[in-house]
Amino acid sequence: MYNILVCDDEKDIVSALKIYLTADGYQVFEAYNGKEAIEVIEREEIHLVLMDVMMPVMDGITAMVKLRQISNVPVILLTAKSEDTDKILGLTVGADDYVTKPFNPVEVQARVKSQIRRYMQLGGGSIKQENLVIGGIELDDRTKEVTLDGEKIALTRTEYEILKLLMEHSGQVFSPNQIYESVWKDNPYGTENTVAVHIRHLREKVEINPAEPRYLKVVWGRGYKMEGK
Amino acid sequence: MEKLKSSLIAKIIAWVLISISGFLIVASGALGIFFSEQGFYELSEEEIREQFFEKYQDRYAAMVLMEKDSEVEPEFLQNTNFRYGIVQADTLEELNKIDLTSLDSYEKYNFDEEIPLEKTDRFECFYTGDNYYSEMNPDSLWGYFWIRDSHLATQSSYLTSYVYAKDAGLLYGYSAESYTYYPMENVAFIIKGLAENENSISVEVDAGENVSEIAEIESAIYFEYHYKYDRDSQVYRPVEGTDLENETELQIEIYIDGDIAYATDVFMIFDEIFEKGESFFYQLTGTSLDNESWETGDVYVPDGENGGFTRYTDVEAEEEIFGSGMVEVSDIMDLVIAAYGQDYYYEIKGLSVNEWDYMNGKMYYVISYVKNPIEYDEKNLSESYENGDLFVKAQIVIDFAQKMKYKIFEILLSGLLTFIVCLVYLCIAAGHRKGTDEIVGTWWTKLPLEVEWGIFLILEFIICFLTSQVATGIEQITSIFWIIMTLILLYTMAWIALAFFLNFVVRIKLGKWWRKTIVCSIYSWIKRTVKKTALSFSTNTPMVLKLIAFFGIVSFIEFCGIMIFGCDTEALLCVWFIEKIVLFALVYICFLQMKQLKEAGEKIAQGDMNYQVNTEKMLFEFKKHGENLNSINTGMSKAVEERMKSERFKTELITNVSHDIKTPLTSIINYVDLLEKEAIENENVAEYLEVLSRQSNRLKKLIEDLMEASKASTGNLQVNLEKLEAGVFLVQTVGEFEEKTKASGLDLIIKKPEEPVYILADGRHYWRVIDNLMNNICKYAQNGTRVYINLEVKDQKAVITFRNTSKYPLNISGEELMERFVRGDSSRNTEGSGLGLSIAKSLMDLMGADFELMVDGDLFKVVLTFNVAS
Repeated sequence: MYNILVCDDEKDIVSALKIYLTADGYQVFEAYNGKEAIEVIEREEIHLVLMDVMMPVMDGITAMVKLRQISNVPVILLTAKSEDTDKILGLTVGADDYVTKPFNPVEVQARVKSQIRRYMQLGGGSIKQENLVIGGIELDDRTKEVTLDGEKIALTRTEYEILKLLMEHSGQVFSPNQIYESVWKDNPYGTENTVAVHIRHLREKVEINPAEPRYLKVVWGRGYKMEGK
Repeated sequence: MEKLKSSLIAKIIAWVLISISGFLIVASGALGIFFSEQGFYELSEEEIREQFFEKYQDRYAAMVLMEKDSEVEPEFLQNTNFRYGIVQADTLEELNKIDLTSLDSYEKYNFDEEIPLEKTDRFECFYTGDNYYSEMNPDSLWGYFWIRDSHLATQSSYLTSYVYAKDAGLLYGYSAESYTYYPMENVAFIIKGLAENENSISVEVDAGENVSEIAEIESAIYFEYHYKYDRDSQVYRPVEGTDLENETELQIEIYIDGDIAYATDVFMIFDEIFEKGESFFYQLTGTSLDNESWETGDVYVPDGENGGFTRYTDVEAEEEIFGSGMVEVSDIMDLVIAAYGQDYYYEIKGLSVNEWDYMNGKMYYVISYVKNPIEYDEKNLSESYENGDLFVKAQIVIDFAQKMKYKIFEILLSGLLTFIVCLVYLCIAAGHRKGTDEIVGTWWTKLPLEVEWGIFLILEFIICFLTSQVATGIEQITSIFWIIMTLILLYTMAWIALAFFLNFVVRIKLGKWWRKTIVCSIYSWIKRTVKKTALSFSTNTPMVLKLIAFFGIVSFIEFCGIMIFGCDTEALLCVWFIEKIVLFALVYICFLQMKQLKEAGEKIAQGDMNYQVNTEKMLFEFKKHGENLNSINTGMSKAVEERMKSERFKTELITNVSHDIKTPLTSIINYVDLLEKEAIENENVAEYLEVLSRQSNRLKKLIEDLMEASKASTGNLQVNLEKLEAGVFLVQTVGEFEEKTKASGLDLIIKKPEEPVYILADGRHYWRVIDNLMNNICKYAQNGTRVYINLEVKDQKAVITFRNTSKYPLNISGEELMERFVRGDSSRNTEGSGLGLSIAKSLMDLMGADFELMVDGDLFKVVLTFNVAS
């Protein structure tokens, strides 16, 4: 039983989120501005915070800064601003993830689940040292198993090879040709499309929102890369 | 130094010094001139003494001769060094025959020792007993003397007018000095003249009965008639060698008829004149026998005995003496001049009257020497000078000159030095006062310069006049008082001049002294007026009038040139050439300025809002035009800025509104979703919920696209251009849309060159463009058709072409499709905002790439053109 704090000045949104999260089996605390959120966090044991940015009394960013001084609980920002600069600002002050309004409830549920798992598992320290880990993705080369936030993902052999290549060289950009050459061990004559299609499938499996990937990123015009926090 | 500049005492000292040195300069300079004139620098002392003494010997000689007949010894001869003897001899030869060493030879003498003949001076004079000695300042070295005759004027210049006595046939000259009419023995009429032009006069002189042309006048005429009085026949006869040599007899006949005088015969020229111009003749005045017009005086009248004359004194009734016909000759001569024009003049010479023997004089010689040596008391110089005779005085002067003749140069030099130093100091110190560093002007410097100088000149003139009055006094009364007075006045003049000079120096120091002159004020007033007129002309006159005025002036100058140099072709050509050069320069300047304006216009047309024309050196209308261009540019850039501002404002507004809409929209979406999860038995409700869900999602998409579109179209997005490979992009596109195209039953066919093609683009924006296009294709392409995506390189450009077959008939042009909120399907009930193509176009513009959309029947074609990255 995990405790989640939902903080938004819009009561309807808080209520809706409470319904979804309660259905998933979380206990939900409510707050309507940053100040109240800090008070709740000081009072209760909170495992995750869902917080709006634009709020009266104390806005989300200020609350984030204060919160980080007292706790390292994961925070997902809810923001109406979809600009990159806003997202970057949120992440730099210590947020773990963000969801732009209007959000899809299913996506929120998924992200909450992901963050809680990671938070709890990292605390458990169950990661084996030889495993490749990026963000919530963990790859065990001996068992050829891949887990996302602790949950096992079913990958095809090609998908597994691509993911392994990218994870082994985290941050490095691979062009479709390079990926083809190293995974298929063959010359890619007119077959680069295959790589792109595989990557797309892989992204749908490891990302909560494939349109806005957190780990497996498309570098347009160059190729693909793995990137984790 | 500063202290010295403003010190009053120093200034007073300088003034005193400058006065003293000025006096020294003038005195030593005057002495120097005097010495050199007297020959002190050239002659020996002995020679100078001789020269001086000779002069005074002559003077004393004249005095003793005139006093010859008096018994008493003249006063000046007492205690003098002058030794003389008077001897009578008609000529010098006769004198040489006389034994001058013997005292018996002399009529009168004061020799008291043996006569040193070789040292003597000889003074000769024609003594009549009538003549007398006259002198100025007899006691002074600088006085002078002359011998006068009570009877005769010795020179014709003493005669003020000439009268012809008809009855006596004599020409008289009147001396105003002695009130006497003297008969003329030798007479010369000289008529000179300059003709006005070459063909004006040809004079024919009637010589007796024979008409003969004596002188043809060309550019000048010159007649000379010489006559001598023949005492025996009592008529004037022409002198041999003159023009009228052939004349037997001089007949001067002047008729007096009322107020009109007629002259004939020798005044042949006059005849002609009288004939030609009677009107002039009537103007003859003073020719009647009216007594009033004649001076009363003595007159010599021929007595008929051997050509002798009798002197009548105080003649009043001239008629008795002169006879009935007489005329003033000068009046007739004036008439000639009047008739011939003012360039003629005449001279009448009445000569040698003193040769006539109505004088009973004899020639006398005065033999004189100066007793040597001249002695005087050196200690009491002024007294010995005062009491000494002329020789003593001269000796004192000579001794003084010998002593001083070189010393004066030292005095002059030191005086000059002092003067210059003092003057320079005064110039430097001028205007400086105690207690201030600034130049202080006097109230004089506030006056206009001309007024100051006018006052100065008037002052100087008054003092100059006073000085001249006082100075005349010095000649007559040698008084120390007058000398001092003169000195003071001269000094005052000099001081005033110095003061005004220093005042001028102050003006110069104050700067721009010419500003405070009447001339300058008038000049600046004229300049202002002209400028004002020119300005009002240039602003208020229409262009056409200006052009006419300019053209008129040029034409007028040309006309003047033709008028002045019309006959002289070379000069005219020269003027024409200069005019062309000037005109060319003018046209060239206009052309240059036109070019400048043209360039400015081009720049502005190209959108360079910061370009400003330099109108400083432009002329007339060009300047105005340039200024207008500048203000257009300023106005334009202002308008553009305003527009940008309003665009930004719009974007901000859209963003803010979108944010505000998003929050309620979130609730709607969430609760619709929650409702859908409820177990609803009513089918209608489920159907309605489905509509709500679809439309709220569409609203979400619309809002996102709206924000994107407004940002992209206003350029409010950051663009990071990188080197990207277009081929990889296509591959990635295929990968991303593989499922979607499959779902729509579309077949993606990609064609690209073997070699990688690199383009400059922002990856994320480019993805947005492709995303929009591909979404469009998936939505609107006919199911089961092929979609072609081509990449090729054309003219250094990477061209990516998307081609597909439309599901709906496209009765709309490519341009219209790119407008915001325009969609190919009129139903508008499918998902999409209608902003996709517009956003794509804006983003492509931001990246500096081309976006082209073509519709050909059902064929829908999009062409993206990028610059190839090297």
